[in-house]
Amino acid sequence: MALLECRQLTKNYGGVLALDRVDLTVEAGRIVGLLGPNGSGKTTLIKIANGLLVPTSGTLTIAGMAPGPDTKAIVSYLPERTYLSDWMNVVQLLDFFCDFYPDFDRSTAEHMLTALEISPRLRIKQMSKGTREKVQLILVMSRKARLYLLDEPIGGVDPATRDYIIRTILTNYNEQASVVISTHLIADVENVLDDVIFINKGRVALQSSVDQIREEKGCSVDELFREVFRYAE
Amino acid sequence: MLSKLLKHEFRATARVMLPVYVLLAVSTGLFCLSMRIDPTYELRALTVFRSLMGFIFGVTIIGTGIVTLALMVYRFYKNYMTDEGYLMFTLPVSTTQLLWSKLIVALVWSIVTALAVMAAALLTMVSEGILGGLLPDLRTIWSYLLSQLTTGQLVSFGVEFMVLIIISSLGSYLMFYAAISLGHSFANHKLLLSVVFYLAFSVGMQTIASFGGVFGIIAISEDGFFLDDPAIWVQRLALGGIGVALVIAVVFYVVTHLMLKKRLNLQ
Repeated sequence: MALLECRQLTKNYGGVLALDRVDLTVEAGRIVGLLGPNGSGKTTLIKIANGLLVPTSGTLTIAGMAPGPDTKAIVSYLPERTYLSDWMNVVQLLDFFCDFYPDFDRSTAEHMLTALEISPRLRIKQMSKGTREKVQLILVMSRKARLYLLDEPIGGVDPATRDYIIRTILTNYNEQASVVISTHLIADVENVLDDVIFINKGRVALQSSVDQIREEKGCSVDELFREVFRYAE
Repeated sequence: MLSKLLKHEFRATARVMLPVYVLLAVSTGLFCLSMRIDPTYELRALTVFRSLMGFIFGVTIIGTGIVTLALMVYRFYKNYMTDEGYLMFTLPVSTTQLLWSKLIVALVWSIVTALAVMAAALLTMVSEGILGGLLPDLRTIWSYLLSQLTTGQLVSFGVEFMVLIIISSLGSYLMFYAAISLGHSFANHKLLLSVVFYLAFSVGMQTIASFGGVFGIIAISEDGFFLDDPAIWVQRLALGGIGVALVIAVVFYVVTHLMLKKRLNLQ
């Protein structure tokens, strides 16, 4: 059974078609790049998968279930925004994640926090934007989830942190789990991806494995992306 | 999972509510102390202190109520409608649990605030010796009630009164929640629309209360019970009130639940 499956998934925001009859599947054990320009529908798709939006028509299932408490228990979601309460400190956040997610591995999180020299007593409001993003990523990646949905995880951080984040993603997910990374910074993630989904104007333009692209098209994902999404001269 | 939501919501609200109660206790203590100062005492500073403490006590009493209401409404907005909503709505819990966690915590703090304010008022009355003077009157009222009503009726009035207060409080919070969740289902001007919805609900409620109140009293009084047996009249009034409060609370609950589940639109 596919881990994530969309069938004719459509989302209409007051006349604007954010997703238009999207069909796609993500199998277990894959790292998938959800790639597309800004406003292409990536975030909308991820929000529907997390139950934050209700589709206008069509279906989206995770391990055969419609988004709800049961799917949220197996999905680890990194939104593009900082969702942490700024009055909380790191220890309180770890308590929070331990309470709600049985798959949260506290020792992994503590290990990563130590590696990044983030004090457990530091409050979110005392942190820089970059540190907040790191803490959020640590919390999300310390879960032993079946599906990780990461929305622009490397968008606003420096290249060194970007490398750390990508290494973190690679070392923390297990073989049965899948990771969907939404981004437009393709060159940074290309080497870790198994599959790519190109999405443009709410429609799936291409779904393929990275190997297939290299063999059949003879180019990198980044090059193919630039070709597919080239603006008219 | 509801218990975990409650635990974290109490933790988040207690960091504001507990200092507020400490402030109330301190201002009550200082006010009681200041009242022991003879107002005719010659040292002006002490009489100024007495007036000042009275003013601060009054402000703290009103402030405690306002802070309780404002904090509970703000928590719903901040935790569910802003970026924090991305975490809260992706927890493995149902919308019903999310809604009830806020409602239960709001209700509990409201009750604690009501008890704290009553205790503060009672303490100042005891300290000033006003309560001693009032006791004979209270006894007279109590014995009059006992002579008119059976113990069973008194208990049932007490229970009905409590139920009415609880349901009305829930309804009041749900009116805020419904307005906020409706306002935030739109793409723009979310806060402004929330205020507009709240004002619209308030006007609607006032209208219903004016007409409903008059017709309700006529309806329960028309067969002459009003004059013959006040106990039955009060009983009907209480039950009618509970019924109306319940309908209002249910309507706002359904609206809020529907908005959070189907029309959530986080920025």
